[in-house]
Amino acid sequence: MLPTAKKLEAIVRSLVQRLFFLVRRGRVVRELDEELQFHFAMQRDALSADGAAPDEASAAARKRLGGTLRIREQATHVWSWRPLEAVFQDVRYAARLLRRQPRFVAAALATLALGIGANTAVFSLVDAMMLKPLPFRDADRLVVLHASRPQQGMSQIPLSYLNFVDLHQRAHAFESLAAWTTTTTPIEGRQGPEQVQAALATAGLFHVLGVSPLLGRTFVADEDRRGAAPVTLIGESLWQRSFGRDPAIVGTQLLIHGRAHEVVGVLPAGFASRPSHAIPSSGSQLARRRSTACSTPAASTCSSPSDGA
Amino acid sequence: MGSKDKSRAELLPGTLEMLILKTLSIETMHGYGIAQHIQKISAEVLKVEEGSLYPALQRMLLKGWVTAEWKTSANNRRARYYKLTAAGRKQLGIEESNFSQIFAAILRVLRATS
Repeated sequence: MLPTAKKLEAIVRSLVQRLFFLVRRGRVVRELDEELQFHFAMQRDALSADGAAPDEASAAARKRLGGTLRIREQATHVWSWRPLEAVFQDVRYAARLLRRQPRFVAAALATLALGIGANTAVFSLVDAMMLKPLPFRDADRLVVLHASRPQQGMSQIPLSYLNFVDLHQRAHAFESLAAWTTTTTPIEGRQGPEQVQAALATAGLFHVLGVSPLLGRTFVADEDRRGAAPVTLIGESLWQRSFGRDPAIVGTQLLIHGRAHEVVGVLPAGFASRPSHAIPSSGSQLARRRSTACSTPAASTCSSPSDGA
Repeated sequence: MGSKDKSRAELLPGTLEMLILKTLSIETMHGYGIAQHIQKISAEVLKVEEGSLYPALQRMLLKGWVTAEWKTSANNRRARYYKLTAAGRKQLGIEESNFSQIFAAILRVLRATS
């Protein structure tokens, strides 16, 4: 065990030093040159001291100069990493050849760019639509309910609120049901009024989706009844943008459509990033809007739209 | 290539590094000093060519047996001084004992009379 570890250490060290050499080859060569110059200067001194004529001494030194290159070559070879250098050489050679064929290179690059681009685009789409699970708990048990009128060839019709109420009361195929729709509302933030995207939802939506708030709570039962105290949840991005991530936001009042709503919680960005900055709950308001989608974890699996609507 | 092989052939393979290690175990020295020391002690029998010496020193740097440092030499020139590391000292011990064994073995063969 120990010798193996030692061997490994030596291999790693030599690898690191060789990689280092690739970067600082110039310095190694310079140092070596200076070292050899010193060596030959010392030899010249020794020759002169032995009584050789200065001419003779420098001739001998000149003769050495050819040797310098050879020695440098051999000494730096010690560091080099032949497989890698060979690869570099091949790459350089290929680059030189390609430079002589600019039109071919352009065509090849364009082909590659188009191919890679198209692949990436298609994959992103497939990934978002089919591969990535929804960012909710038990995403595979969530279904969206639509109405359909096969006789008129219409499908995926948003449910009306009354249909939702019927389903909610009578359909047993689902563990729970919730409805929501999106809208835009003016709010009075700390930086003055602004128009934001909002979702209107039944109280049970966050329970259905399994979303837990960053701060505070989500809606509780009956908060979507007419006459309940007005409450709202804000999304993380709105919280950050308009309230500077103030942790004391919960319990304060937020003016929505000129009416004070108590902020009861902050929703995580993953849930509330795009569709809804502010989420005032409301139930019967949904009745006035036709676009109501219902998400449900099915008790059995997704066995059911035929159950009611 | 051919000249490289010749310069190597002057010493048994690996012995140059051992001699350098031995020299540096006495004192920190620059390349020229190492060559001079080996030549002087061996009574000029062993000539160390620059072409073998400097590649060997680079090899030993790479293996971590020696470290190098630029200093001013006795005659006021900048020279690169090599110093033995602990690993180098250990390697010297290994090489000396290997060499003694091989040398003794060669002698036994040469002196055999039957």
